[in-house]
Amino acid sequence: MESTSWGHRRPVHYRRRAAWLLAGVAALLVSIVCSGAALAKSSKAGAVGGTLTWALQTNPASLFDAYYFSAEGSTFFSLVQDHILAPGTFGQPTTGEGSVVQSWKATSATRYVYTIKKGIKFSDGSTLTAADVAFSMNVHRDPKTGSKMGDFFGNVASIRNRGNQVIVVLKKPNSNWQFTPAASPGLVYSQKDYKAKGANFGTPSGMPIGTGPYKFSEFTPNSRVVLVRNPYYKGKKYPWDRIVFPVIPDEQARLLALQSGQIDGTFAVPNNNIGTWIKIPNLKVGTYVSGGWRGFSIDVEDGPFKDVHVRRALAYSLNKPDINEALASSRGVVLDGLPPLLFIKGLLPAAEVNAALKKVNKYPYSLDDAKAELAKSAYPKGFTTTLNTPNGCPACLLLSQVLAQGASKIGITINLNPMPGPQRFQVILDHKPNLGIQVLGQAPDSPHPMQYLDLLYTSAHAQPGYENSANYKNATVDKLIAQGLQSSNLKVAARNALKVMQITSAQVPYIPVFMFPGAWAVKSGWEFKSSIGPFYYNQIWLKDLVAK
Amino acid sequence: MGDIVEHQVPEPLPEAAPVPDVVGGRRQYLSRYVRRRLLILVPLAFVVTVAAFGMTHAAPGGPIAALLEDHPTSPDVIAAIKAKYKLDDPVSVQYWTWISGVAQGDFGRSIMTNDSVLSEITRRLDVTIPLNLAGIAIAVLLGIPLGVLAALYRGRLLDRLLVTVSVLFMSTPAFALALFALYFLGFKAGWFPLYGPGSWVFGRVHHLALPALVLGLHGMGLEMRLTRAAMLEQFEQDYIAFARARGLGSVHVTVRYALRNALIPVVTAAGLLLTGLLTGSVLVETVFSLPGLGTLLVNSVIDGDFPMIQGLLLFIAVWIILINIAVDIVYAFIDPRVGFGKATS
Repeated sequence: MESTSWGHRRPVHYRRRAAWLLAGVAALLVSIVCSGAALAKSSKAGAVGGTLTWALQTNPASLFDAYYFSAEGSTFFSLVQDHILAPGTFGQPTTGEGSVVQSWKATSATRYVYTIKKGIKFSDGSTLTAADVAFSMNVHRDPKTGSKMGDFFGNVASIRNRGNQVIVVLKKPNSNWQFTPAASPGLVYSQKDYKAKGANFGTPSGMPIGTGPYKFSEFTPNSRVVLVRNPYYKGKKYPWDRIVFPVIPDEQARLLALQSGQIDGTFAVPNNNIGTWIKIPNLKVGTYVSGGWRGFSIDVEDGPFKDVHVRRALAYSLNKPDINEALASSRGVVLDGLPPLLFIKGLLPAAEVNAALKKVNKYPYSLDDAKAELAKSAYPKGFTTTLNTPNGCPACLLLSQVLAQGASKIGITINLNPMPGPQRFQVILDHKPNLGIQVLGQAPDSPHPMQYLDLLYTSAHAQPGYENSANYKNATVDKLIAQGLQSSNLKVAARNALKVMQITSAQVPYIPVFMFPGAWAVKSGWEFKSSIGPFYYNQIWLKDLVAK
Repeated sequence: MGDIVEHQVPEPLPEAAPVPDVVGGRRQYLSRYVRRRLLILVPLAFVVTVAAFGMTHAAPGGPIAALLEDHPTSPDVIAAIKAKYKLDDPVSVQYWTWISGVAQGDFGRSIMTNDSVLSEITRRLDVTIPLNLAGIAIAVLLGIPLGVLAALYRGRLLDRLLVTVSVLFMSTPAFALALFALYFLGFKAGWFPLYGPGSWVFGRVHHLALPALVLGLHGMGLEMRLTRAAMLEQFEQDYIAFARARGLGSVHVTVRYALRNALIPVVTAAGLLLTGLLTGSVLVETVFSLPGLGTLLVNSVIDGDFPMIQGLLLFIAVWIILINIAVDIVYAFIDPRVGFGKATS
């Protein structure tokens, strides 16, 4: 026993405890110092041969794209799983690197035959077969899977393998199909692996194998995905042995991590802050055409919106260039109609496109024109309506605010009703309680000129479960879209798309505002050697990344 | 000559346990109390799950729209997803399916991730528990001594300074404090990683140190102010005056007598912090990119992920009940007068 300053006696074992406590604290401090050293080391990890650290913004819900279908997810899926066909810069199907197909052809308007490359191995050493390729598509068709991508296969009658070939038969001709094997639903899985992992396929305890240059090595939801080299990959060897995709949802944290060198790059550069990111030293920021658009749908069967003059008045009240500046640092492209011309210009001569565009009604920002249009309507003094705004989407909120502000100047009061994103999308899917005006943002799944038009304008899609949220119905437009989809000649689709643009521009069921840009940021000295396209995430995008 | 009043010096709370038979009796009552509370846990958890299930299903929206995320779809796809997760079944059938699974240890699968609910929760606890325990430890270990110090120097500069600091930390939103710490201590000074939970022991400690500090400083203000108020109240008591009159040292009087009696409200506050432990750090988790339970709950509610919401609420309900039992037990250790259904003297 010993005496304390308080006059009480303290047992010796107290001293031992104190010693252990001190030792613990010392160990903790040493560990922090060690981790600090490791951190300093990791900031140089992007060097060739080491680890590439590439930040994600959103949490990968699953490693199986049937349950997690997003551009961000595809940036790592495409490094692990080859696609049936590899997408080119603008989504055109190719048989190059990233594709498991040797050759393919459409033997009729509804029958496609794919011949599979020989000698391709999965990361467990097993050989890829045509059965695996057929399975990879059929798994999305199987209702038991509940795949988010089931809609891509809605027109498919059968998919089967025969020898080294996979044969796809469509219910009716649809030239958009040719792009599907090169898009997200074209990822190739191992049937044996899927069956072995059962319900856990895609979860941390059931990471899928693939035939791409890397394989999954770790998946911690909401934290990170780690890839390492696929030892059986025979294609080009990329510089990094390991790729870490940390999830950093907060923009400021992501930016600071990039500035400090704790990450090497990211595709998650917010549109409205591209200008700010570009000005920051030690970063290289670039943009690319995304093919995605933002704007509004107006329910042509709902109250005052039945009146075309009201819809035109709203279109005139929007200052699109200003919105492009505020939401995309002026790096987007202001739209006069859908689809974005990106998907048409490569198919038709410029003179033909320009001539067709002259017949498209345009609505340059003009409050006088907006007031004049409203005066022609049944609501010359305006009215009040509500606009549902998904509150997880800052761009949607800003866009809605701008519309409300412009409309208020001509006498239309738009009350914003922020609601969770899924709840708002449910309104569109249910087509109730009322659609009114909806703020939209969509990214392309294929470069087919009819892709957006089929989704948004087809009369059959103006019902619950579909996304024609304008409830737009027009027999001529339906015919043009059907023709465009059925023709194997994409020029026919492009011409019809321009005609649809002309018709709908007069009726304004949608107000497309701008095509938003995509952006990437890498640390100083790095860059993408060629401009990446709207479907980069389905490619082995590492090939374009130049690291020093 | 006035009347002689015999002051009876109030004894401070006993430091050691009383006579053995009383201890045995206390243990018996304590044990009975804990058993009773644990038994209540079952019906309470049941009520929580029924209420949560009803409310989640009554809310507009649902998991389908969240799952599809604005992607092209069709009624066939929606029907397939509904069939897979049995979303077309009546709510009562869905609840029965779920609770039957829980009874067999199967909490179901998340609609958003297709992963087992139990695996997801367990994985998140790996971050949430150490982060929040460290945060609460910092709050208590800083808050109590500083509260005592402020009480000792009541009305003086040090007291005013400490009160100001506590108000500052309490009133600054946790996410703002987090961004501030991230920028200055993580980015500028380079002492801490800027994102993620880290791996292995050292990495985890290093990664969680800064967010834990933020949570700790945010919670410290409450602990400090409560300690200060409770200490000031104790300093006004007669037994403190008599203890001082008996010549006991200032440290002895403060720590052994005043602080011990002041601990009840402080422990209550610590209990409150602990009950909020599982879900109270959402914003800090977001800023530091940590996969915690709070973020999981918020996302599940937004997405209408019924199985995950149910699993989390059940877990949280049990946690809160257990913390309350633990706090009651700690009361008994601090203050032997606290009984469990029967007087101990």
